[in-house]
Amino acid sequence: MVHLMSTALVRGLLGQAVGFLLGLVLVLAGRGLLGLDTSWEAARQPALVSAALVSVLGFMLASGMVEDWLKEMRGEPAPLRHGPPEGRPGWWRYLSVDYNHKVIGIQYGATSIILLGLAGLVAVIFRLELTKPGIEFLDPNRFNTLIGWHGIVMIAAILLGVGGMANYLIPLMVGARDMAFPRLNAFAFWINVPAVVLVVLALFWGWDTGWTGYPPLGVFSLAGIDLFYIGVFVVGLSSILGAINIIATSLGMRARGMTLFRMPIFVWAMLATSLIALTATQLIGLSFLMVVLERTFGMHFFTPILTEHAKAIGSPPGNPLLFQHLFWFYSHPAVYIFVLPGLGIISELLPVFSRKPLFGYKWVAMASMAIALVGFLVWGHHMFTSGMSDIMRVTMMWTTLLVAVPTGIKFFNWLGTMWGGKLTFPTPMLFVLGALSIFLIGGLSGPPNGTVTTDLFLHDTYWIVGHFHATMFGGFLFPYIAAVYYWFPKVTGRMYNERLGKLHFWLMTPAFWAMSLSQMMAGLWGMRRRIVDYDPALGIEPFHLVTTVAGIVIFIAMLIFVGNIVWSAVKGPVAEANPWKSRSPEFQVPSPVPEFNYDRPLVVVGDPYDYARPEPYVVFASSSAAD
Amino acid sequence: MSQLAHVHQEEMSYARRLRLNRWGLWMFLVSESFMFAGLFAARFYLWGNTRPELDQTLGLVLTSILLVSSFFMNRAEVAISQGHRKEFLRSLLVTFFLGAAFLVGVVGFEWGLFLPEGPHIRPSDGAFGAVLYGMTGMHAFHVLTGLIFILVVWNLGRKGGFSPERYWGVEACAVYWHFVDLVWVFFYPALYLIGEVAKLH
Amino acid sequence: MKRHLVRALVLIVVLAAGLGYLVYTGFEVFVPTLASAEGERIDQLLRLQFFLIAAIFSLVVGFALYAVFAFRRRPGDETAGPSIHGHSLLEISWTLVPLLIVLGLSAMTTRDFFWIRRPDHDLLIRVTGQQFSWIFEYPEQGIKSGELVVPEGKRIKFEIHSADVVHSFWVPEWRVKEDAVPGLTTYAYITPSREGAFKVRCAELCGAGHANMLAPVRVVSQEEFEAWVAQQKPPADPVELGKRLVEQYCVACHSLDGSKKVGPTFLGMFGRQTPLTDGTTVTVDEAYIQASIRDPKAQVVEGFQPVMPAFGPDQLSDEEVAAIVAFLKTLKE
Ligand code: HEA
Ligand code: HEA
Ligand code: HEC
Ligand code: CUA
Ligand SMILES: [Cu+2]
Repeated sequence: MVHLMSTALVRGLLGQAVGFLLGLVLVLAGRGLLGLDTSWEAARQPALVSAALVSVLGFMLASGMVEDWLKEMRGEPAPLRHGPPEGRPGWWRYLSVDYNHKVIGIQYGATSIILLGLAGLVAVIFRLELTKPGIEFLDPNRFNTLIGWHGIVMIAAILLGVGGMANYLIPLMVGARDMAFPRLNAFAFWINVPAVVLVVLALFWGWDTGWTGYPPLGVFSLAGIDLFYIGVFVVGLSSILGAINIIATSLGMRARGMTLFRMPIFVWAMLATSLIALTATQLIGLSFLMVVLERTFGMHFFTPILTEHAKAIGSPPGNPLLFQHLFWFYSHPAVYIFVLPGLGIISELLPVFSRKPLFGYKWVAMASMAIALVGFLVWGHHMFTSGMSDIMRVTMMWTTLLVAVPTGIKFFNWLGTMWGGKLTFPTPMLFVLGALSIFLIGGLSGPPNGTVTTDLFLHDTYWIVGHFHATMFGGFLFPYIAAVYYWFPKVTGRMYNERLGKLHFWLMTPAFWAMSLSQMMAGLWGMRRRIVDYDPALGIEPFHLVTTVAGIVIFIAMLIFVGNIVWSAVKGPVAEANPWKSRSPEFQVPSPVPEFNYDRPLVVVGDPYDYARPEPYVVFASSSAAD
Repeated sequence: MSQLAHVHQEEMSYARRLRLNRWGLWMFLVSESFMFAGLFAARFYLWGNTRPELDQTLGLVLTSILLVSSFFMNRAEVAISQGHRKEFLRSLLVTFFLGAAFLVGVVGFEWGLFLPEGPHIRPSDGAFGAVLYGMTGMHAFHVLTGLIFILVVWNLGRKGGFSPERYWGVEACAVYWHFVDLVWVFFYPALYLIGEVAKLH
Repeated sequence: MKRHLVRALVLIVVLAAGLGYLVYTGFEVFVPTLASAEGERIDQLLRLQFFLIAAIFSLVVGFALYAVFAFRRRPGDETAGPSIHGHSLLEISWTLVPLLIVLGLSAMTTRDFFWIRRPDHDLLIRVTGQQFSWIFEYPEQGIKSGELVVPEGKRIKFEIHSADVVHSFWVPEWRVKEDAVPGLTTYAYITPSREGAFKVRCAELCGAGHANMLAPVRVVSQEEFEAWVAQQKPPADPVELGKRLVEQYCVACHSLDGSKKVGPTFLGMFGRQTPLTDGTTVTVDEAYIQASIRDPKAQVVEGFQPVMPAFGPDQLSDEEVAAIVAFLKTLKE
């Protein structure tokens, strides 16, 4: 109990609670002093904004995540704390500010799975509502809140999951002892916690715009939306800081001999991902900030409201499309943030389980970069029906479809990798193959959305819902699961249960196909997105039934997964250091990986995936001279 | 354990640490410039070829103050690199006061807090108000953080925290300050110069 | 290797034939009834893309499936696969072929898109979306309606507005949709090609009533359309006009028979004393009714939620408001 109370998590949450109250009081008192209306009705909006902001600060200060920086600012020495803390139980460091990248990686990963579970539970709840036409047990506002919550929390789960993989793996893969900026790394993780708390709190007041938060609806929405906007803003901050760390680590901390084209391919994927996260994320932050400003100070960026005085000075009105441009300038590239790491995992694991080099390594690496860069030029495809100019729509279509080319390159190189290999099928490989097929259908359902004319029909229907569940399951969730199974023995030193793993796969994959295909069909038949009630005349009830049942089966399969890893981490059989006979450096050291990864510097001498060659990928230098 | 921690610290040479830090800072600025570019784009999206009538003298004075502050910031950096601690601290303080003057100019006069009749344009005045306050506000926020940064560096410098060999903190502060200045070099014409003044009704 | 390739190709062809047949026979079942000329172009492109999906899916999955069965490791075999790192010619070809396909798709779509969006039209209809209903105005005919009635075979230009938040004007059978954006005017062009009854379904989340933001659509012959227009002409008598407008816009929330709905009943409303939420009481007179229509949130009746939408001059002209008042005056208990 004493230990628990002293963790950053508990202290931070307490600090956040205090900050929240303080924020409320600040606004109420301020309004009182200025002689403004202090009734809750009138003061709620600014009070919640202030409470949200101050609560994040409260978390930061109380958790101790900025302690070292504050010391440095005062000129006091703040040496990097490292290693397990003395006199604390083993779990303590996982709930505390710890600078080891592996601890942070696990913190990210665990948070992401918890969020996945919550958002999945919410999905099951609103799916039950949708099984039958009519309004069963969710009123429209609650329904809208839940779908938006499901969407944004799933997306946060993805970002955190990506952070988990990147943090755990990149230093290991490039042969470093830690990330380039360990303190920043811990900061970037911990800042997510108060953000998630805000998004959870948003449920209480609700918001009705879906995850996209479009104004003007967002401006007039329920009170929870400010917490949603600010929470997402803070998650975005984490994403940017994480990206800085990943780029600096993968470019600046590589082992001797590890040229760019000899890095494990996952590092390339993360490099491309981080370029997007570094730059584009600012725009969603900005767009959300602008809506909050509009709500709080009446700054009409997006709503065409002109006051008398505004008319007198000849001001043009605000424009709702501006928000959509800013929002999608991030949120389209964001889908490649979700998918590139996943595709990197597929590229990383296929050679191991095919015992063959990655086919066309350079092409695969460059395809990641190409996807990331072209991804910046296509945001308008979410706005084909928004009233954007015709020229813009057509331009955005041409660029959108181009993304199919580098993605195709990856697929064909994967086939090349498998072709003629010696394939084995333990659970991680099964999930890789599942990912491949599911992402394929998700990706192929993209071009019909990308061609403007067909999107005039498909936009905002369940076809799109089917499209993006397929891309996100195939491009993120399945590879993520594969990665968890694959590195599980490395992380915990124990082996997961293979039979439960297979059961998980064989439950989840067919259920996923059923869910996604029935969503797509319902969409083609006229099912709109984000409706609590649908017209029984459309005849789409069977599709909805299948979607719901399949969603529940996925949920159960995922429970088996979580049960398996939790149980195996404690009770599983002890694993060998290199159960997959991988050439990757992290598998050349004992499991679990030692505190400082490698006690001697790595030197790259061979190809990362060429299993037929006698020379290894990396050797350990005999001297311990650094640099 | 503590011995291991020691090993980890020392493993990275100062030169290497410095290189990584520089990358980190520049990446952060690249990231920030996307946000400022977003605001810049919003101005052209909403205002097109018009602009509100603003006080040209004020704009010119503010811009000059900020540019001159960058000059002093540079002097501070050069001074510490040559070991002139006194001059370093003095230049830093000059930069600080110039920056503070800029901030007061924006908040007090452009935003009308010091004007008895209040601001000419209010935040709620359509796209003019929103963008004007959005751009100046976001920039002012960065000036404010820059000022805090300068104070911290000045305080550390006073305690002898930098040497001609190791002055990363000063460098970071200077680069950040120049960046904030550079942003204004784009914002100033976008707000005060480009486009025709909207007709008054 | 050649043997493997041939077998895999056979598998792919079988898969592709199966999926292709499904698309060929099933396409009409996959999509709603087609009811516009523009939709025909859209369906053609969609069908083509479904064939493409079937083909590419079969190609990739065929190879993968084949590899899974043919290249599994035999028990006891500890050797690695051949050390093949790539093949430039293959890479270039699987870059170029998809590139050509997507460029082709883009070119076709560009042509279709500008054809769909060409400005010529026979009839102009002004559509206004507001939480949570649609209003259709026929400026050339001088009428307004809550029901969308259009002649078959005529190219219609819809000029789309929004009074509050973003909505989206969509009739699935017509395929085309276009958002209604406050502050902007957007356009959709549709040539209905099939008579029948359909529904406008708001396709952009617009708040609590989004799911039920529907409006009836009737596609009729030119003669029927003209007859309908004649019948819709606003009656000269203000009370008649008011009655029609009230039935169109108000009865969803206000009853005419004394029962309580979302809003207070209109029966006997004129002249009565109404308590407001701010504690005061007003007498319902002409000015008050006018104010309630234009700015309902200013004075909210006690015991009701402030959910009544404001009807600006774009939706109800001053004359129409006067007509409504005239009609409401006649509703005595
Ligand atoms: C992981 C996430 C992910 C990924 C990878 C993608 C990938 C793609 N997406 Fe998707 N998309 C989403 C997540 C994702 N999407 C989400 C979340 C939304 C909804 C947001 C919201 O509104 O809430 C969305 C919405 C969305 C829209 C807007 C639809 C609408 O609202 O009207 C469009 C339109 O163009 C689109 C297109 C594409 C395209 C062209 C790709 C391409 O990148 C796909 C490329 C891949 C392939 C094509 C398959 C492999 C290629 C080959 C085998 C080569 C041969 C192929 C050809 C020649 C075609 N997506
Ligand atoms: C990664 C992303 C992701 C994932 C995995 C899912 C998973 C699911 N989604 Fe979701 N979905 C989105 C992202 C995702 N969704 C997004 C972005 C939107 C758009 C929102 C918007 O429009 O604003 C959306 C919208 C959306 C809709 C449309 C709502 C609407 O427009 O009206 C529907 C409807 O069927 C749906 C259903 C489901 C179902 C049944 C699942 C099922 O697969 C869920 C099954 C459960 C899990 C996959 C998690 C299980 C995990 C555990 C059980 C772990 C347990 C953990 C512990 C014990 C610690 N989703
Ligand atoms: C979405 C529902 C809705 C619609 C549509 C609607 N109203 Fe109302 N109306 C209400 C509600 C709820 C109230 C009571 C609360 C208030 O005063 O705002 C109300 C109040 C009123 C009042 C004041 C009644 C009194 O007893 O004092 C008048 C007059 C009125 N409406 C007229 C109209 C007219 C005319 C129309 C159509 C042109 C209309 N309303 C359409 C919901 C609606
Ligand atoms: Cu109107 Cu949805
Ligand atoms: Cu997109």
